[in-house]
Amino acid sequence: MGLEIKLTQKLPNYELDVVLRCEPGRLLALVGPSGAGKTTIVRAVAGLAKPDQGFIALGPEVWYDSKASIWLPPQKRGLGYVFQEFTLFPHLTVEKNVAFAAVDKRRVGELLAMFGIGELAARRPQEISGGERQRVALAQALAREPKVLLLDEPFSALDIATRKQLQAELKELKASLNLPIIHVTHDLQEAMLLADDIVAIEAGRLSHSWLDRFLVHAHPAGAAGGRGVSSDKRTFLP
Amino acid sequence: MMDFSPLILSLRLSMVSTVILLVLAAPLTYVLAYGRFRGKILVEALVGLPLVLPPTVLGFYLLLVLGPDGMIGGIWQAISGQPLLFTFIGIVIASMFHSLPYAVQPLRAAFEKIDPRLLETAAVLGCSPMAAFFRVVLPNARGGLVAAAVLAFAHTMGEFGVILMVGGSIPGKTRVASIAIYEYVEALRYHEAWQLSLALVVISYVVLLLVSYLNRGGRYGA
Repeated sequence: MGLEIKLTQKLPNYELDVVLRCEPGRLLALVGPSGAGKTTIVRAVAGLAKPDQGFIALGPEVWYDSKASIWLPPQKRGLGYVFQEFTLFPHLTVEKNVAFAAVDKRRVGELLAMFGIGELAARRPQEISGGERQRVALAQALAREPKVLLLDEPFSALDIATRKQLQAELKELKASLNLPIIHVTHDLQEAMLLADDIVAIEAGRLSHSWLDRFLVHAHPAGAAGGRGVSSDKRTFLP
Repeated sequence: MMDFSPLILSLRLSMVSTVILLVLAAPLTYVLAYGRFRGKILVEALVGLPLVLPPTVLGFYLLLVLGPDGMIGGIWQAISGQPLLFTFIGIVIASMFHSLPYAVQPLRAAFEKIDPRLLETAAVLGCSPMAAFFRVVLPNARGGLVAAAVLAFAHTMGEFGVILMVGGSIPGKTRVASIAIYEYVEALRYHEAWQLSLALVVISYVVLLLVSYLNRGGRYGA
């Protein structure tokens, strides 16, 4: 079941206007400068902010349709959302955070082990490192067995070594998850490493030129050939 | 031997009204802190009104509302067959109205300190607003709950005008410590007034010490 997103939203300096699609088992990276509208897109998908107009659906399940006045609240969408930081419940231990929305409580232990946080089970979020917290947040999101996974700059608050490690872990994990994943990042290298599809957003629009500029910097040889996308990633444009 | 029954009545009144008040004030504050609805500012001002009104004014209106022809008093009488005025339950209800802002303010401060992203996470993880209230907001606002309880309790312990208007001064039923002190003084029984006043001072002081302690070190998440 693919995730289909069409939305327009008036923002202070420009209008966000995008059409995106993400198939199960694929990771779509949204890259672009800060304030380009990336987070606005994932917040709309999560149901945390209602766009002016548009359509969001997961397969036959319509989450938002401005024409038909359909708007499903976030709690009914069945998704996992990992924010940049500080979203674990401070009054709960790591284990209880992961179990917070677990569909199958027996899987909690399994997830703790999978993310290497089993030993932290009894600690509180304030007592563990930033990297550990993001692992817990990922485990928490997956425990609810989401139909879509949204990652909003999940590693950007981490030091570089931890970030690299978590990127590698996510890359491995991704293979086992058969769901659409949208990953917002301003780190193009992270996008190149993890994504199946990369879309650049600049001032609310899909932008080839932004991606080109950066890829020219990153891979000058490849850029000489044409559009500038030098890896096996392809930009996805509908 | 001194008659402690007014003091015991005051303590009982404070405890009962504080507990019920918290149960009602917490969801009300949640709606005020996070809800978006028309006329919110009107509700907010209404909740704060007991802070500025003379107790006699509040007491007068409560006398009408809790009376047999009033909205609350009428319903109560129809259900229980008993009047509300000049009863213990009547002064519990009156005290709750009077102490409402004292409970709402610390609760609101504590609720608003909670990172809104936690509530967004809760929603994404499947919590309805009501589930988020119980599972996320309340556990992270314990400091505010304690502060609200202490303030409402202390305020009710010292209440005079509203209770006198709604409850009168019936020994064992509505004659609370502050009213008993007033009557002792009127009757020139200074010795009893002295004892009861001192007891109230000590209790209030201990309560305020508790607040300071909680504000300094004992807080949790708020």
